[in-house]
Amino acid sequence: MRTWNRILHLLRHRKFERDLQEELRIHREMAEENELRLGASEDEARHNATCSIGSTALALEDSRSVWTFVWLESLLCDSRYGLRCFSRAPLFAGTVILTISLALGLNTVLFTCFNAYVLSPFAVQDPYSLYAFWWNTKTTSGRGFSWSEYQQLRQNNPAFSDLVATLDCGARASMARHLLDSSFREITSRCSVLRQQSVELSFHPTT
Amino acid sequence: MLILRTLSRGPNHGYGIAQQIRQVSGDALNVGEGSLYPALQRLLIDDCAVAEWGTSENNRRARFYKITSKGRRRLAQEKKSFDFLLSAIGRVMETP
Repeated sequence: MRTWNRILHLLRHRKFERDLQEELRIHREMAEENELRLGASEDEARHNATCSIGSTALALEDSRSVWTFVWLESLLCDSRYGLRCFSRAPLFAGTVILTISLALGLNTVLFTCFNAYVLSPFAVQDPYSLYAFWWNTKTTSGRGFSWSEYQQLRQNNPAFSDLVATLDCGARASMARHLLDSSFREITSRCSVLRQQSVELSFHPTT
Repeated sequence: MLILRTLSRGPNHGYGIAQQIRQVSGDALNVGEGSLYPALQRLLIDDCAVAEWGTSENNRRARFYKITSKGRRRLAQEKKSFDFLLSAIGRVMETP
């Protein structure tokens, strides 16, 4: 109700303003007349009325603030002031806007990539039962397998229910899709039992 | 609450409300424009009172405020909580 009344007021604020100003003027006049009736001179009447009534401007301002969305008005004022400041120094403003927008854009791009490749798991059932493995030597690390090694591992693998080879990390999405197409349900259920073994395998390659 | 109580005796304009509160309170309460008009606006926005232009007793154009049924309910409610507070203060002060 309050908000609705405020919106109505917004539509006819000129009339409201006129009414309020006239009302306050009449109030003052009545107070002055009263003082005159009590036998005061004209100056005294004005002075006494002002003393007892207080500031008209303040009353007007406070009454107005009851009806308006004060935070909205101050927000508008602040934005106008900001725009004025920017238009006074356009080069500076341009630099600031460009810098901030570049930084924001870069941030968004980086986070989107990070989110897609690192944070979000594969879109498959129980993605945490999937393992990637490779082998290390004393001098090198993160080495892959040859095609024949992969074939052999796939046939004689004691730990995983199935194996999929990928060319690099970027192909993870296609691997996930492949798993979904094949008997993935079976894979995940067996994998979770054999998790311990699979971890060992990833650190002790057969070759 | 004081304004609502004054309006419950009949419609009145701003100056009339201030005068009546002053007279009834025996010059103890002097309501200035700065607090009267914002309070009246709050009553209007909450639909506790309605305002319309009319003619005062000495043939002057004035804006008359009239209490609504919602205003009467609010008055009863505020009087209740005020009485409660007053009696609580009374008990604290009178306990030896």
